Amino acid sequence: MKARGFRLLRDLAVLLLGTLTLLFFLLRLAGDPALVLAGPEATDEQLSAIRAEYGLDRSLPRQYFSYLGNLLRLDFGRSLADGSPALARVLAAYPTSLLLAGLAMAATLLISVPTGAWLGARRNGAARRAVRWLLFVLQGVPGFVTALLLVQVFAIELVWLPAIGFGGVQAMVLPTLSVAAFLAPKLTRLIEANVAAALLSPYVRTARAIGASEREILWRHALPNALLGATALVGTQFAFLMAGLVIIESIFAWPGIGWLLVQSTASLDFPVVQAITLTVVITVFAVNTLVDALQHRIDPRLRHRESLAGETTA
Amino acid sequence: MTVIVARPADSLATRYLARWELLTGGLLLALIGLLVALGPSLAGHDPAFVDLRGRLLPPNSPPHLLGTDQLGRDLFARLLHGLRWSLAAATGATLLAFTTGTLLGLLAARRHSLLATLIRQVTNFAQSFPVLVLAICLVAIVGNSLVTVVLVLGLVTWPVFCRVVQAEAASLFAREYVLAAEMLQMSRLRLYFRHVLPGLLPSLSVLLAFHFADMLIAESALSFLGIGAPLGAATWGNMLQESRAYLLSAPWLLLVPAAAIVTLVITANLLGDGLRRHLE
Amino acid sequence: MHRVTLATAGAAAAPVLEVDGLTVRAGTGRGATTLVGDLSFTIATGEVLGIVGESGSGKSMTAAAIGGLLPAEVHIGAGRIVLEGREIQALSAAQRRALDGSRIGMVFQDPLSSFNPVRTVGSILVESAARHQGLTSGEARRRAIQALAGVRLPRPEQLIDAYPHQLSGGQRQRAMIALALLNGPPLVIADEPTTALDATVQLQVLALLKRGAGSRAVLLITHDLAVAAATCDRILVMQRGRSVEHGPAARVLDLPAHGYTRALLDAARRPAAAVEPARGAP
Repeated sequence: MKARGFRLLRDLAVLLLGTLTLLFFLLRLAGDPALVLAGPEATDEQLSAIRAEYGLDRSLPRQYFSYLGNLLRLDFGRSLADGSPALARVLAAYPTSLLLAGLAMAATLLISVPTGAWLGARRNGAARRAVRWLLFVLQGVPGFVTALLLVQVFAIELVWLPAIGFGGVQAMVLPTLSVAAFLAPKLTRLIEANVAAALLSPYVRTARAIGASEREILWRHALPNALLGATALVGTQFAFLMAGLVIIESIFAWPGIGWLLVQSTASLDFPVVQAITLTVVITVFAVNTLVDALQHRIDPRLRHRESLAGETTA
Repeated sequence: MTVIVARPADSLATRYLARWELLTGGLLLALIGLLVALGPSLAGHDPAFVDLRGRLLPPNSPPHLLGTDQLGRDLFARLLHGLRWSLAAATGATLLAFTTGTLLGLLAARRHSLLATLIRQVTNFAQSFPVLVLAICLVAIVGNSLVTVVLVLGLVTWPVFCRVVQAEAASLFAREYVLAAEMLQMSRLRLYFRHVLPGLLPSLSVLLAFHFADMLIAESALSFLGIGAPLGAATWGNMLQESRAYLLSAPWLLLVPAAAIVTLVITANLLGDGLRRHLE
Repeated sequence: MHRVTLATAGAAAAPVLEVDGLTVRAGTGRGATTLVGDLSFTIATGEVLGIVGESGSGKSMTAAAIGGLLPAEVHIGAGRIVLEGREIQALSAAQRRALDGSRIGMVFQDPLSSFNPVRTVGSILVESAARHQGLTSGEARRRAIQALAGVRLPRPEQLIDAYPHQLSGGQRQRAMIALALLNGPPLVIADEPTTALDATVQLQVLALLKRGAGSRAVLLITHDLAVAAATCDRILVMQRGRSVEHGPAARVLDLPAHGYTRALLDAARRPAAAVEPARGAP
């Protein structure tokens, strides 16, 4: 357990160092970082103030280490938009994004698990073919196009739901569905494939041999295995989900870190962009670690490594 | 031997489906190729020509086949221009990711050096790394241009290819015929081209198709956010962004580029799915 | 379609299982292929019948047809399967399920994949006992522990909560036999029960199957003539879906009447002969 914790910390450190180094050097490759940091309308005085604050008049290695040192003290600098600490702005918007991510994940599971189980258990039929085609088409629709179409139909034409904003359950429906729409097809197809494979497996044959009904076989003997095989995807999909949040939040003016990122990149508010990037990287890492731990907890093949086969009777 | 999972009906259906998917995908691809070759000239209008008297014309109002936008610019011409942009960006990014990923994957599969370990580590991290968030930041820093989009998308997504190549090449290198070729002191380059790359081709071709679809989506998402493509240029992402102010009065401004993106992505998915089923 | 069945002297009682003109087909229409054709045999209480043949001979399909475990596109085309006087095909799906596990016990080839990897070995025994004996979960658990002890598994109280990957191959197959015997079925079908096991463990498992065989009928499917010789009272040899020879085990093995049986016997002897020179090499 201790070794595992150590390995996780080491991985996180390497990941953060890599990301920061990448950002640092790309920022310098892109031109005078003071110009980028200060924004296009900065005066010469502001520029020299920035240079002094970030130590841009010093040599590159010294800059690099003082940059890392500042970040180590959680000093991300001040937002160029309103002068408040960059990290504070990001952390203020963070829970709103997590709410949308959680809602979207829940919606995705609510859609994917029953649909995938149904598709996997059904062998043929027009309804099954129709659902599979729908999934195939949905997989080809980018998340932001789905969002725009949902807005067009439910907010503009039918006027059922608000098109933008944050507050109230109604305002959460369209953003949640938009994110779920691009996560669900892949998960559904994976669960379908896993259920279909499980239903052909020898352990399901054993369940049939003790007289289990089709319903019991699906829910008790095939689906748990199918879902276990799908948990790893939920982890990798989370990185994808974060990218999706950026665009969906900016469509719905959802005040999370995604929207903040788009605003900050547009205004070249680099301290905020940097803080968001690190927050997202740490979040994705944490979710993957959690999913991994969950897998170890629920999969007996990973949980109980020890064998009981040591002693046999004659 | 007791396993009785022979499913002849299924494999037949799979083959039929694969042929259907490849055929449909191929036809769509040919059509798209034709549109790209003919380009905006097909529409008979300049995609940037502003005609303020003919604003927001609905589709099928001659001479504007798909209507006009809020500045009276011909929608069909803009669509064709955007098609070239999207294809150029997605093709460039896919090829860059493919070349980089394949080369590094081969390196990581062959050697047990520090470099190979490093490549494997990076690839592992990248799998659960928000690469598209990184891409947004990078393009924003470097500035808007087609080259930037291609470079950034290609350079943040190469691990997708690297993972597959590394895993499959490692198993290929362990095969007897490759070992034999190696023992016959075949040159390294010939070994790769004669024995390793052909073995990788099936999974790489499937991956190429799916990655192309992903890059199309990523590119249009970037330009939708106002990152990557120059502002006001006729790209699908820009067209979608501009359509948002006219959802009520001119829904076709949304529907036309949306349909175009979906068609292109589905074409790539059809080819990828068809190839995968065909190769199974 | 009536056939004279080759009954042995011991099988005077009414047969537990009667298979008459069984035909199993895959697919429908012109694409259909016959996997088992016109097969007839009976098994009485106390008897072990071995069905022997190469892979693809239809022996496993015969077991699957009797056990109600045919794959989706395979079906019974003709013939009757009568278990304890009841014709199985006439039963509803629910009636049929009531037989599985209570009147028919099944043992499969690969004991690892035949247990669900994410559920405990005991859970399926408890489920079966609760379903067919109407027991509460506590009673069913005690019954399952008894059954595990009955196949001489060590510390059954702990083993019941173990996962399949924690047991050895032989232990898993014992647990599978415990599951098959759990509800005291009059018929046990064992499909290649020893193929996935080491030679020493094979004998133990076969002994378990034989033990108490006086109170039930056993149908043993195997490609291994040595296994059949060690276990069976009668042997039925199948080739390409049809019965080519059927008689008392000693007679079939010592005086095979059919060329195919002789070929099988030769094939069984050959690998052993080929091994001998190698044994002398340093």
